[in-house]
Amino acid sequence: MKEGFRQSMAWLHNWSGLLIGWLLFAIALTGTAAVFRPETSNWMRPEIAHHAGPVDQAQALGAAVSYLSSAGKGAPAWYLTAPDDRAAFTQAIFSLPRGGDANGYRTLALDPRTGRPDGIRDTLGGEFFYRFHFELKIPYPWGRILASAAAMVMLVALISGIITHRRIFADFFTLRPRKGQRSWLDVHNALGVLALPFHLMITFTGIMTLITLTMPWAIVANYGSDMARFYEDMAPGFSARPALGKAAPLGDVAAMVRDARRRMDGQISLVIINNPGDAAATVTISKHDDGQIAYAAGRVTYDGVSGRLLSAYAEDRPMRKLYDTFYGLHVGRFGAPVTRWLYFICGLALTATIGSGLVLWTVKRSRNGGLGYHLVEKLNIGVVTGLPVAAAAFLWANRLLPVTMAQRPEGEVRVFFTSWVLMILAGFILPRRIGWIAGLMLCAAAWLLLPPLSAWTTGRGMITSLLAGDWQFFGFDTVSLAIGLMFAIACRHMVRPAPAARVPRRMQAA
Amino acid sequence: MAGSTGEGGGESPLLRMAPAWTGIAMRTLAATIGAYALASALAMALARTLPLSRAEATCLAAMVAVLAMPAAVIWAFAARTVTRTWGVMLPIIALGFLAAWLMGSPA
Repeated sequence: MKEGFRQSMAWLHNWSGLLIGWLLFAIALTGTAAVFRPETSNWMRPEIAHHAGPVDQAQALGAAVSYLSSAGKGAPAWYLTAPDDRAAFTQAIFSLPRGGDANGYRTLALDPRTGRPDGIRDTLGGEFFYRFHFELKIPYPWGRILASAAAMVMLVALISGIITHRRIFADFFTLRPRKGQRSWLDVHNALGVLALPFHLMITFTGIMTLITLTMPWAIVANYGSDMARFYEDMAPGFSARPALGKAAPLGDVAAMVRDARRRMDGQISLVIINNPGDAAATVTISKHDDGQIAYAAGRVTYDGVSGRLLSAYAEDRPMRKLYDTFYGLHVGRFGAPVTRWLYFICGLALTATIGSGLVLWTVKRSRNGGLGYHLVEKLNIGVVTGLPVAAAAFLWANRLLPVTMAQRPEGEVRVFFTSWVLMILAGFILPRRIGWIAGLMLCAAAWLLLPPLSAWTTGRGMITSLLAGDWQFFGFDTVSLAIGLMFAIACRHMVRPAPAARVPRRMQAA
Repeated sequence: MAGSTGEGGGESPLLRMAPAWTGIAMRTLAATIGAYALASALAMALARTLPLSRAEATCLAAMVAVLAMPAAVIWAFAARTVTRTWGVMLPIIALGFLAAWLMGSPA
């Protein structure tokens, strides 16, 4: 009975993992990249000069607002994200009757000193990986639903994997290198177990971030279709007043930011300006996420014209706070930079666990062959090596596409998907071994050559960054080299003769 | 993953273990639509019955429901027979929706 349970869980682990493994690999990889979203966004906008010392949030917001007074005129609201310890620019999102993306929204990166977007290349930056991580470039709401479903399958695969895994502590210390299937199993187990608490946490909290969409039945039971009431109950202090239709200039937003920083004791993040230019304008300033694990812990709202404080809200309802803590744990914006590095390393471990699991599925079945086996094997090459190549190509496009090109962000994204599709096709066309070696070699080259390319196209090379104390650019380039090196080692491993060919030699010697 | 006697030992024990196709289909149905229905029923019942404010009850109910889903999926494949799988899940689903319905909509 006990053995039967374990075996049915092994069956569940294998098939649930395979069914959605490629999708999970992409979600885990882009999620890991999204850990350094602001840093990536900065790196992808090299025109914004590195500035030593803390950024003046009040001045940056003040400058942004004076620019938007003309550029964002007529928008019902401006959503501004203040520059902080990590982000080097103010992000402004607003909708205008004319122009903008498919949803009519326009996103601008504004220089923190001038408040203007002039000369800064148009790009999605780190936002691309972040969005792809939970929307998969599929229209709302289907991408998010698919990502949630994948996360649920992942959670099931984790739980069934733990049940299947009977020697969890012994295997943790086991690595039998160059033994084919055993080695893949050891790698899969070691990486899976090493950061198991992280894997469980990130999967569970990932599902949590989208439950209003995927599990709305608690809301339906308690609020029916009165969603306005639900949102007001869930996040009080965000509600805007209806516009009066009477023009009035915005007050001193920089002063409001200074006041908000004092009241909330630290950095601020999101600034929402509703009805700008109207007598009923409001300015809602949110507390930064670095001071506590819980996400969106508090906010203050000012009258946009007079600057008078209208409301101050700090979340203290236990269940809501629990939810915000799950959310905050997922996005990992709290604490010191070391938090981000731990998230990044654990995220890489999770990605590698999924990748090695996919490879293991084929290694275990290599004697049987069959159409399904070949399909999985070919797709493995196109996903496991293709996605890192596509991510690098996206960054290459950022450096190589003309800065003034029309629809530049879309161009970068097109390069990402074109490279990925080409890699998948190559995986199908090339013989298995050649496909893996070529894919890994391309990964290594694409990432190792990224820092020189960046230095050549921007003049902000690693040495320049190091001397300027620009740790973000230096760190980004260093990570790029490390990724390239990792793939180079993996490639060398593939090129060396297979263990089967080495065994007889040792036997001869014996 | 299992040790030497488990699936690492080869394909045969797995094949012997694998339920017949109809069984797999029924269990997969239970693990997808069944598990989601169970979570939804639980979410509605808890949202209406938890002794908390409306917002707080909604929050907790949704979180508990999400936790119930993987448990239901594991159960769908762990139960000894397909009849047992559904025999346990269906009454929970029915009870959940019934409780939410009896409580009516909020004032």
